[in-house]
Amino acid sequence: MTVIGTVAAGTDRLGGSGLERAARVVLPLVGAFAVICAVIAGLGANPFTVLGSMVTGSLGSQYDLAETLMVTMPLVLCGLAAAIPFSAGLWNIGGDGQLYVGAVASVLVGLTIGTRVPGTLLSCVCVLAGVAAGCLWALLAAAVKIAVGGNEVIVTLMLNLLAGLAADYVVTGPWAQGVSPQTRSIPSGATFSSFWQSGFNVGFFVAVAVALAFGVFMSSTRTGFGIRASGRNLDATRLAGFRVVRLWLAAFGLGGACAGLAGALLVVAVHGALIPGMGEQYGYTGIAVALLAGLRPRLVIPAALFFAIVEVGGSSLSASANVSTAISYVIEGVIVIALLAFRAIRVRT
Amino acid sequence: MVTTGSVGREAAREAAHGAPALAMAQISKRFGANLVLDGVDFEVRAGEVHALLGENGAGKTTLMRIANGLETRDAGTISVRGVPVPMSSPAEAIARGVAMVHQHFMLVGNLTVAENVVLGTKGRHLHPFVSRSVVREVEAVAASYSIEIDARRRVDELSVDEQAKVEIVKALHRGADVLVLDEPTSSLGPRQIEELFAVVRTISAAGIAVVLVTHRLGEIKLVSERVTVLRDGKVADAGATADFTEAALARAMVGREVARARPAAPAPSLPAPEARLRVEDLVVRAGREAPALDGVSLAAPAGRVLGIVGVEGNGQTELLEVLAGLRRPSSGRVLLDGEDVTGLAPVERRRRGIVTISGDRHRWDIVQGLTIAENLALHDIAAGAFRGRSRLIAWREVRRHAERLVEEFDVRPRRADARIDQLSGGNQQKVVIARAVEGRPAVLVLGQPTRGLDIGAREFVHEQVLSARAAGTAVLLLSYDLEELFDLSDEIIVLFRGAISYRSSRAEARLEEVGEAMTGVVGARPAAAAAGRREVP
Amino acid sequence: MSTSGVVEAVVTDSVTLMVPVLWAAAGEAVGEEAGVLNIGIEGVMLLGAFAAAAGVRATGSLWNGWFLSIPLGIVAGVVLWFLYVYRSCNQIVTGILFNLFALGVTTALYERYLTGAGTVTTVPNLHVPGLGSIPGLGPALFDQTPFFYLAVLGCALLYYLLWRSWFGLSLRATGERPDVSAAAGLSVLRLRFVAVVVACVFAALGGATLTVISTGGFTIDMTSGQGFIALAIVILGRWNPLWIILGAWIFGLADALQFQLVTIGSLASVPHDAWLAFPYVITILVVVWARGARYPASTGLPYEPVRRRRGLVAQLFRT
Repeated sequence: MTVIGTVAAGTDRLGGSGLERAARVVLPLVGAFAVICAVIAGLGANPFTVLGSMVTGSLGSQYDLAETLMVTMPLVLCGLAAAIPFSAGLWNIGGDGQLYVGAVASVLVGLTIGTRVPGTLLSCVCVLAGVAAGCLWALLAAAVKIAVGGNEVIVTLMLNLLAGLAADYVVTGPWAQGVSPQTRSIPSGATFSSFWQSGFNVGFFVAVAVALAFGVFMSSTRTGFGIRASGRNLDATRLAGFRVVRLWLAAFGLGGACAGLAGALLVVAVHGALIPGMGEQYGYTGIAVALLAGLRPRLVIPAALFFAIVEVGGSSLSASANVSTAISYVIEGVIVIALLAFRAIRVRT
Repeated sequence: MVTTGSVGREAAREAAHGAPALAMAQISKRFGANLVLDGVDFEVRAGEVHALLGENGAGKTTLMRIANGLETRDAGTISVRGVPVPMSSPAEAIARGVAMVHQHFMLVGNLTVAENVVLGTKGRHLHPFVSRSVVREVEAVAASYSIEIDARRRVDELSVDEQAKVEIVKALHRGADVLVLDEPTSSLGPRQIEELFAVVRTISAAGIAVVLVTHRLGEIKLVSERVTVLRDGKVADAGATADFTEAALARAMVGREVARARPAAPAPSLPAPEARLRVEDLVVRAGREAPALDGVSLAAPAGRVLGIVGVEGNGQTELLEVLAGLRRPSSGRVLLDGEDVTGLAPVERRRRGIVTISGDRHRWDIVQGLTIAENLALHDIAAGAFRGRSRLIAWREVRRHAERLVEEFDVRPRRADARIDQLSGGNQQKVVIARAVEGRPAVLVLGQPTRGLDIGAREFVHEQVLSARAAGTAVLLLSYDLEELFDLSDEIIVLFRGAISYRSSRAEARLEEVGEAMTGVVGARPAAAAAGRREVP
Repeated sequence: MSTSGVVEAVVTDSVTLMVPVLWAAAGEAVGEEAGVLNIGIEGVMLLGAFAAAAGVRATGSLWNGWFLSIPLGIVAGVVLWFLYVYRSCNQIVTGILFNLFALGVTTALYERYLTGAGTVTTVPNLHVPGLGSIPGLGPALFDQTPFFYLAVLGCALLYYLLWRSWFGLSLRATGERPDVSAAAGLSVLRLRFVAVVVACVFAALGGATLTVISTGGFTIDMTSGQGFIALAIVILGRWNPLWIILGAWIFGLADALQFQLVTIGSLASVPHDAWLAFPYVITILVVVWARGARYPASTGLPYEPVRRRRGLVAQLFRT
């Protein structure tokens, strides 16, 4: 299946001839490119130079590539955190919060039992704590939706804000490091050791493995199948004999677990501590990743990679380029909005 | 704002000089491949009540939607008081004085009666909405037609007949000269129907032209002056109501050469066929004054087709829902081989051998966006089948299973991995039927299985029904299509007002009697006493 | 500081702090009642804050900066209407993406053009003679930043528009049953256009207020979730701009508490974040318990009018 077919067939069938389908993808990309160039020019820089240096900044050397792959890691997981519930028609906007509670839980475990538990075991326990925390945080929103039909968008947004507060509290309060604005570091034995270049470690492969596993889960397990079907036609899925409540709990729980894993890995595999803002909008960018991937877990990997290239490329821009690193968000937002506006990607309500 | 009373009388005076309030000439409309209206002429004069009669699919609602600017027409002209008009939008229809009360009310539940009535009134925008004066205005309009409503109440707190009155007042407030009522009595009890018709008489006396779309002959005789009968998109007959007997109207509605093209298939060789499925005294209230199902009992024997017909709104939908397990009856039982299955969920019923195909495959049967193979395997996967030792779905098995069915049932395109939304309606229905009959169920309940399908697909469905019958399945066929019913059924039952108004074996059934039973004609062939027949007022 | 002094400070601060979200929530109520849920409100606020800061830097006047956010709000409203209503893009997802875009654009523009110290001024409070001297409540309500009075005025206007005018009736009917509105001859597209533009202008003004009541400058991501808070306030206030004033105040109160209560010994041990958390928790509780607090029925749902337009361009752009 070509890339065009993938994006186009992503979350809904598209009609029209091959030419119309191609136009539906090409035109928005052209339009997005134009807007992006206009913004960059408005910042007083040459778009081609900037975009070019973004590409070299993220892929130019092995060091850059390693960095890009490490940024792909949380993006894959946050992409899954959105994609799985979205497949069930559930709006998990809470990836951000689930990530932070995952990070908080990891640090909590790392700091409290860190002295008594050996390195690798500690890593695993920290990671599992993060996964569990993210999962539970998401299930809170699911419970509200199931019990009273409450709007999960608002609840997940509120939970994001609450998780942010929890993270802030932890950084300034009980586990403050004192010198820099972050928590104390977890024992170094628990952090993943890096190899190859620039902090690259096993965490990346964990994320990829999780995405592949969910690919199998969504396509070939009864629950995954039920989740996909319920997002398309809830009545028919219920009539077929699936228990919708269980499907919803699974979808939200697994989504939250992925985001929690992202938070845990950011602690254990990247920073070694909880640093404010380390979640870097991954929760929200993950939604864009999920859309670009057409909600398919296996495609989340290349989609996340693309976004990582944009983000690392952005952060590699030097101050003298006049263009802030935040240009990444502009690029990501404009591209996916354009694809949505031209119906290259469609999300069902 | 025009006071409707004066316009009405004005129009009545005009009518005496000829131009009908609404005239539709040679109207044609096609939906896809379906020719729904074919050169229909229809007109209604000021101050008259004109009934529009027809069974499901005859085109009456479409014709009226065209008159209201809700649908475009492919051919034909519309004139209001002699002036040809494009009628291209609902706003235009309102401006020209044509209003319609739909079967499913177009009311905003959380607004009051007054607010609903005045919604869309032009030109006031930023002016304050003074509730008290609007309420007074609305109640004044209602009162001038002797309609009692409390304009301050929220619409979602009103009963069905009160909501119908709100719709009528809404039309009157807009200065309607032509009011179309689309099956207004389907959920009303006898007393409420009386009240409604009193309102209709008042309105027409004031000079407003009323079109009453209905299939109930008793009502037609009660309140209309002229009647037009539509059949298969054409005008079958028209004239003064007094000139028709009820029997004649019923015949015009259903009358066709019901081609007994298919000779009655020999019944499969079973000793006296056992009733596999029994329905005992089913009552469904559905929160209405007149119950949707009012004591229905029937028995479906193995290897026979039981055809159940009736115009929509007489209980077929509720009966189907109860049989499918989508709705609990207020009282009564459903028995499979003697076992009470009334309370069982759909998946449980399937396990025991009752398989239902609803009339609404897009809602209940098909998951768009999944492939043919996935849809075929949907119920099985839900039940845990198709799993290999690893507990993962064995897609090769699923595909093989699907390919076999696709071949057997001739689903086009013949690709098990094609997405089901790429299939035509007929092929989608084939998928649904394939899934249903594959397990050789004991009982097969089919709700409008050929609705919207082309001839080839209909033929196919009929063949499937007959082969299920030959295999010993007890088939219940709920349909609006008389031809289909006569082709396939061994026994025919007619539902009217939630009760069985006619029951006969196919050999003895007569089309005219069936037509009369569908429209509530008094004196039609009596059904067996045990079935419980309702008298038409 | 004495307890009463603290209370006075808290109340005064709460009224000041609530103004930005009040603007945003009042406008959003109009949008939602018409059937459009703008998750992108966070982004619009941020853009408004930036526009105001840019205006302040360019003209030296806080008021000029504040007013500059209005045209920006209009542009944002047109763009979002185009996406949400005309193209029927999924409102939730599009809103999130818009926020991402806004964060990127404002950060990039800020870093390029607005860094460096600007003037640190504030707009003087408006003092209502007499009333302003009432102890306790007086200073809080009657000796306040003028943006508060403007916001209250704005809420009163929107209340009238939404709940007391004919236009509001059409708007609310559209949010609940767009099909009924269309059958009544109203234009759903046009009504939602006005609603979305109003919502965005108010959100932008909210962001601008955030800029001008602090230092007149912009900081990256300065809204930090206040747009989402506004979404919650809309629910708390049951889509009524007058009740929304109270709802916004609850959030303002929590904000003020986290600064001031530290000074009271017995409550100093309660972490700041707990005070900030309490309005979020209240919102969740409102969603759980207030069954009456439900969105208008068609909010968030795409509206597909029956008629299809012909033409190659239309076909290409409108499947």
